[in-house]
Amino acid sequence: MTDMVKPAETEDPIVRVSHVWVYMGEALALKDVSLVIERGKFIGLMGPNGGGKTTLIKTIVGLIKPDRGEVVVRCPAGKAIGYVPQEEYIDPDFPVTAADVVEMGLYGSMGTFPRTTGEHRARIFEALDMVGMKKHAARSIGSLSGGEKQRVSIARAIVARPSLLLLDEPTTGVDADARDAFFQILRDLRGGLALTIVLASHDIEVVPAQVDEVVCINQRVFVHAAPEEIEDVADFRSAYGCEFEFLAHGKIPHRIIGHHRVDEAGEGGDDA
Amino acid sequence: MLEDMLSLPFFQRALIGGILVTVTLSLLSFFVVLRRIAFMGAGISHSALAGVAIGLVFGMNTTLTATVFCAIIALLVGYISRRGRVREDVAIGITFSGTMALGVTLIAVSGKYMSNLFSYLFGSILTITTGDIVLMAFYCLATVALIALFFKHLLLISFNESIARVSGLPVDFLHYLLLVLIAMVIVASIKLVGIVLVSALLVLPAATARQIKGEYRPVLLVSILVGLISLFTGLALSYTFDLPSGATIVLCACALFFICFALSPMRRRKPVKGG
Repeated sequence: MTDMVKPAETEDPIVRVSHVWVYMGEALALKDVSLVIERGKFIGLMGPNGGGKTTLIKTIVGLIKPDRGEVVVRCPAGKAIGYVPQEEYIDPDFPVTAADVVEMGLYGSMGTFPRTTGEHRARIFEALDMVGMKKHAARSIGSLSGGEKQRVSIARAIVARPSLLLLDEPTTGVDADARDAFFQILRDLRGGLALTIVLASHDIEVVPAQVDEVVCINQRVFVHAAPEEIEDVADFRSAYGCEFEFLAHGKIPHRIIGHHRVDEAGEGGDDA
Repeated sequence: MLEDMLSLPFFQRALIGGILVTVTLSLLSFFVVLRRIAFMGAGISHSALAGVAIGLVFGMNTTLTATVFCAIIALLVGYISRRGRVREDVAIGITFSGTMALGVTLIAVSGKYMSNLFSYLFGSILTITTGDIVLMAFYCLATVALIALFFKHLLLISFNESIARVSGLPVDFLHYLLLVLIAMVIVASIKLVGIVLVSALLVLPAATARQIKGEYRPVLLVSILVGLISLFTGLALSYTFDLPSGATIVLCACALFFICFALSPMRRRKPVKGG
């Protein structure tokens, strides 16, 4: 633990990750990760490629079972987790419309033999409206741009009205204008739906300015703080770059990260 | 000509049985293509020969033994593909050849059934009985009913299994259910198109439909239409020119695919990039 890592104690967190270890085959992906996410926060989960961001997201949503430790997610009854995986795992030619994709977000709450009702349709169009995609409801998913697809993915993830939304590298391949619009949508949704948001990204230039707290992870949590609490943004950027550079050589810059041994940083992990 | 054809009892049975299995195979082909499990379908269908051979050798009902054997192989290959240490294509390749070899050996050991081998491999509509029609109806209607009930869930696991899991869907159950349904309909189709050719009808209808339409509802309808056109044209050509019926049906389906592929509006669509 460092000075920049918050203690894993708070009254009613929505997510509590306690001493989690995850191995992907032989490789260590997460090493004794402890993390508390408070309700209503917008968290930027950052770190170098292969640092374990995707693994941590998947562990929180239950796709990966930790080898050691515990993850507790406390959502109110009937409130599912909203999850937006990396876009590369979505077939761009899948034969569905934007509205069909959003409807998929309701399947989990439709019971054993799901049938679409008028209320479901209203919620689908409401979700599409929230992300500014209502007029594109009938377009096939393959005909949408990267930014439009991401908005549809968010509409799918929020249509079941979750209290927790996790997004994995959602701005990859999206241009600057679409990225700005994307963060504006997330801010609007957060206010309108009382969402807690966890966004994994390696985009050091943009994400810290958009979130309440930054969690910097590379196998373990190195930094968990509000962006303004980090000495200054330039330092953080520098440290992130150096950290990325130095980690490959088994060193960590002490300016940001303290109370660790140099040899702890030598083990690499892959994003799964 | 058409009246002559339709007046023949064996042809009537072939037509009824053909409609049942073609519609069901076309529906299944939608998920086979979306989930990219065409090779798995081929592996399961070829294992049917061993299932039939077990029935022949031990004097049991061949449909029952083929169904059970195919379902076991489907579940085994499905399990290996998800959890095994052997790669899926390798597991299917081994199963594909191993079960075919087992089937041929068992039939040879029995000594008296080699003449039937060709009809199991490539179909023989002359051998379709009223009992076979009842069985086809049972297998196909059960499959269509289960697909209808779980259609949305199957669609979501085909779209993205991770999202389906986070939504709380029983992804593994649905995956194995689909494989068992494929195994059942393969067994029901043996007399129409045969073990070797049935895997073509597990792919071609939906693959053809996806050349025409980009949204799943019309894709499903066009898949069924492609299956039925292939069936009717194939049976008519088979009767007229005295050709093997199963092979002619599959050739018609292939021809439809290549025509649609050549004229496809989907193929001309440019990929969309950027924001």
